[in-house]
Amino acid sequence: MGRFAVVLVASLFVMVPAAQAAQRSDGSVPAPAQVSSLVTSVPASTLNQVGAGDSRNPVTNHYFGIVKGDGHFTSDGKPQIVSAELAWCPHCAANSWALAVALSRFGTFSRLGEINTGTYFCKTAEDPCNLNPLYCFPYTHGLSFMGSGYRSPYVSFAAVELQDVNGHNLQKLNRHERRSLAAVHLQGVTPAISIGGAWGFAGSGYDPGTLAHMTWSQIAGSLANPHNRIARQVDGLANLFTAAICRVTKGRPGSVCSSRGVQAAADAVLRKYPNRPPPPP
Amino acid sequence: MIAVVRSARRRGALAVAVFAVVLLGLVTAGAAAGAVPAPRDAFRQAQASAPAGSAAAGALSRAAARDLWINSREADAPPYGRNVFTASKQAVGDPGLSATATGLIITADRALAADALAQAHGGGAAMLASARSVLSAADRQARAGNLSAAIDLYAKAWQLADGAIARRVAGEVTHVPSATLAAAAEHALAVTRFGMSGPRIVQGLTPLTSGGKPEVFYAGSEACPFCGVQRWGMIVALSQFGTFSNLHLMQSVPTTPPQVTTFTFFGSSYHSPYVSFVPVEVWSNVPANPGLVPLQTLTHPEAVLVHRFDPPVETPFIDIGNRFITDSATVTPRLITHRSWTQLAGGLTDPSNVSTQAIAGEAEVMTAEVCEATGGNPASVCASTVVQQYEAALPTLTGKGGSCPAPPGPGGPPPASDAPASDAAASDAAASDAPASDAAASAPQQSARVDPVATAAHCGV
Repeated sequence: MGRFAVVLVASLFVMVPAAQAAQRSDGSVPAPAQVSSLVTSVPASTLNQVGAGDSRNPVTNHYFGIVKGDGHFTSDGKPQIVSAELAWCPHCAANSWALAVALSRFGTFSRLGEINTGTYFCKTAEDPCNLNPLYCFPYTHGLSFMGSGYRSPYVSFAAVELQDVNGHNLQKLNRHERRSLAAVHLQGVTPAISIGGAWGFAGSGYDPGTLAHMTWSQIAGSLANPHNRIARQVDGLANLFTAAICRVTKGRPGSVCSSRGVQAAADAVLRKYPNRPPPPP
Repeated sequence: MIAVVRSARRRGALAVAVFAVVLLGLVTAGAAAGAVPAPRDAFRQAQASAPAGSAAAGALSRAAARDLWINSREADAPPYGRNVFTASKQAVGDPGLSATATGLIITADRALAADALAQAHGGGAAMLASARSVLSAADRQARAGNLSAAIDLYAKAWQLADGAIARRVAGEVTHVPSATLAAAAEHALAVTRFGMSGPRIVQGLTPLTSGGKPEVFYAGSEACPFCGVQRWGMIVALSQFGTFSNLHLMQSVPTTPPQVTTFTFFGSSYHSPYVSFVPVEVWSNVPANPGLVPLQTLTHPEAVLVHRFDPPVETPFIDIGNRFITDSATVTPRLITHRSWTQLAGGLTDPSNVSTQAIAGEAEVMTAEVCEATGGNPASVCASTVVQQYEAALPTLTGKGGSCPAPPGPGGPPPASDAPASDAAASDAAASDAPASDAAASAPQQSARVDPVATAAHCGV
């Protein structure tokens, strides 16, 4: 008994600092291997079946926008994808799942994080006159790319976490990243994604309320089911991101870029993008 | 045993000291108003003198919490303002608190009750007599050193006085002289600075009825200042068609200015031979993390109704017989802020009073709508000149009133089309069920922090 108590106390001393050390500066913690695995290996058959899915169409939706730019921004000789995010932003959390699914088709993630957006957005967007209890999407669960690694022969990826979960400034965009976002007119906007300065996405690709009350495991676990409500939004958005990335990789890899799901998303959005000059910055 | 004797001696000494402070406070208050700190300030002073980290300091911090006060002299209406007394009772239970601090607390609690009694003058006589009697009993307990019992009784006296205030104020707001109402409303209609917002006029829908009468449906939030200002006009208007009972006082949350004193429809009832009134207060004004503590739930048909006409679900939402839809306040709450219930209600006999004109304008907009829904019944109300004027003016009331349908910000990403962002927002609001605050998703980082003051300024005239 005494030995057990000593072991228990000792393990508490070991566990507590370990748990504290695990927390990253944006408020995220490392994602369990099972969550990472489910997100980064969504079956191609599922993605093909979902196509554009139930994600928002940025051509017509006010809360999710798409901009075509004329940039060719690269890093390490590969087209660079820049994502500007805020750890407290539920809309960024919603996009994070789709971005991880999409980028996993071009390369490999390591050390993905899990983020709980908490209630900071609710405080900043307080509206006592709104009837919707989830209007501010409290405690939305997303993925954090801060501290993660990504390797791909086709693209490079820079995720910039501008603020932590409590709204404190964290990372800054470097000049190259700022110019990439500027090329698609997304300076000062979050969530914002620049696909090599050629395509830009702003806002959330689906309603963050879709993820309400869902754990990371539940969200990740739902992505392989093409009929699942979450999968139809996350995977649909992932196909759209993939289609835009394929434009800058010039269709490589062919197995991904010519896939039915990616083509369906491209048909639904990219090929319907109005052939007009981009709006002024 | 020794401890008991010491405790009794301490309690006796404390009682003398405390009551001396109370008396000193009262005498001083009588001799030179302002020398005694206002109740909330008194709690803060007592907190400053309490040992840091003590139970008393924590309790006094809760007693002085911003959410519980309208101003430094007036606590929120019950049931929320009752927490001031609960916290102050916890504070005096801390043996480490000095006699001076305890005296400040007792004085503050007594002042709250006494001030409420003074304001309640003209309220229910029996309730007032009862409140005075309880106040005297509280003083006796304070003299005897039974401080917890004294605070309980001060709270009871305050609550009784508040009931008398509610009765007085409700009596005044439900019986506004028709000549005053007409004069004030005519002024509101003539003066563009009121910027009254009219209803959306709907045609061809199945009439909304209940009990065989046209239905006036309201969905709101106790916390919302726009609902707060709208309720004044609604009560004045509907009192012309029927009778309210059990109206209770309420105030919107201080965190979203302008804070307004108002009523709640929660717990009230209304009877009329002409219309049915169905109010739902969805949220209380008690903060939770995040948001607010829920109060009432919309039925499924009610939720469908709200979402159909008001996709961002911003309140106040009012549907009069499926003919007139309102999803914002008729006037800005700024027109009635910084006034107590008795000041606003008392002003309803003066047509030159700005807040009276604002309330009268709201009231006659609603009266005109209800008259349309009832087919002009009763004629004693609907045939009046001012109501006729308002009926004719309903389609022309295009001011922004008191509305804030979406948080400020650029309204989202650059649209893919060339349509202006505002048009895109309008069409999206009509076509989508996405929540209004979704627009903040893509706001620049600087704008994502919504400044409540800026919000109010954005919404007001």
